[in-house]
Amino acid sequence: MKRRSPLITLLVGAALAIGLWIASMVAASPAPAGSGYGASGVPAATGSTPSQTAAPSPSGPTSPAAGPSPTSSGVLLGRGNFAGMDADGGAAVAIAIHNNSVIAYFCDGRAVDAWVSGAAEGGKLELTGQRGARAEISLGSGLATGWVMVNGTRHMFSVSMVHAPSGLFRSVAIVHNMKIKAGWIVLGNGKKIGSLEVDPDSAAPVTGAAPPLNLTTLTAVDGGVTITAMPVDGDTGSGF
Amino acid sequence: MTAYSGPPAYTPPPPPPPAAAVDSLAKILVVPSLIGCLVALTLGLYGRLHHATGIAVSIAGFSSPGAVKTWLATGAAVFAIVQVGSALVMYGKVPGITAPSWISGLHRWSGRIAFLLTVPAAVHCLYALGFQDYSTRVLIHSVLGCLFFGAFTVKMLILPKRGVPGWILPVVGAIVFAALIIIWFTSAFWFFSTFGVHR
Repeated sequence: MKRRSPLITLLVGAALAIGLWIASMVAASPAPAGSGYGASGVPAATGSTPSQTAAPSPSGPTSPAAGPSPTSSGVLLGRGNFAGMDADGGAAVAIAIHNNSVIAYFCDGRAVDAWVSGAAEGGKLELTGQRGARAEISLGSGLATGWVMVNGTRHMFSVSMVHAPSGLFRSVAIVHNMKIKAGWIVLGNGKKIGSLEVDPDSAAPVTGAAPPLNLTTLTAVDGGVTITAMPVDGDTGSGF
Repeated sequence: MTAYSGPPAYTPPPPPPPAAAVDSLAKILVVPSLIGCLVALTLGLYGRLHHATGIAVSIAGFSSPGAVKTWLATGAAVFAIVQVGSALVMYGKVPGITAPSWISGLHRWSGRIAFLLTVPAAVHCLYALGFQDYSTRVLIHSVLGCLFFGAFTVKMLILPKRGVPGWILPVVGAIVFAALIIIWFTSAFWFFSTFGVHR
């Protein structure tokens, strides 16, 4: 072993770190939207593995600029969907995480439902929605655990990760001159629970059971009108 | 008058007091240790004081920056295991295997690769997330992340020094290895178990 080679190892690492740090500052500066990850390549000072620079430029963020804003201090957790029944067993919860954006939905298939969303700040998800809806969720071991507060009532839950075709679906449409917003949660076992709000932006929308959702066509029929649903999927970024 | 009985027997000088041996060991270790502490402290302070942006440079072809760091960390952990294995062989601790001539080269290069893989993950972590303590998992990760680079610095600075007792290097190496494995458990293992093993 040459006597200076450990020092060279250290200095190469330090140079690599400084190079990446500068690239990060460039990536985090207000850049044109599109690539939510900033620079897509790693400017390696040591000529590192070619697989990094040969990969197609961001294959991940094909969704419209849904990436985190440069000034947010969000945590980039990953992508995933969670769904399951709440602790009481009376309602379902679905959570979709796409980079550091989170959308969650709680519904009992009848008159109680709530949409909440937010940024994943520091690994703990603190989400808010209309009419005082709130949720606090933490992730670990394939589970999303926490509570959602709807109409002043707190509902605890611990739901597991799910994959397509299970997950969260949403439809916003105009039916008979009224705006409606429907949400469906498809559980891991295939069971579907959905609620529909009429006039969702008002202070007291009328909420009831959602019409059954056809997963093949992603449509449902409300009041004789066919509405289309879109998946709210953290893996693909759909619905974000 | 006494008979001349020959030249006086040679009496060797008294051995140096043990304090001198401890003294020189401290001299060997103190500068690398201080530099290592400085590295760890600098990383921790930067992580704490820098306003985490949520964004840093990333690598294409992965599903998310979290996945990038997870795989980098896993690669580093694999090479670190090669490191420890080769160290055991080098020190003759593996029964039945004699150290081949290339073992020290394997040890050095697996170490270098492991270290260099950790650098992009650490830069991203520090820049985008910062030093966090909102849960035990991230607190341990933040603390050990800083400690890992400090300990690695100490190991690199001690290696070329002469007169280092034989037990120092394995101890420092063990600290570096243990820190990296715990860092992997608090991050990559958590990521895999929460989001599944995927690109």
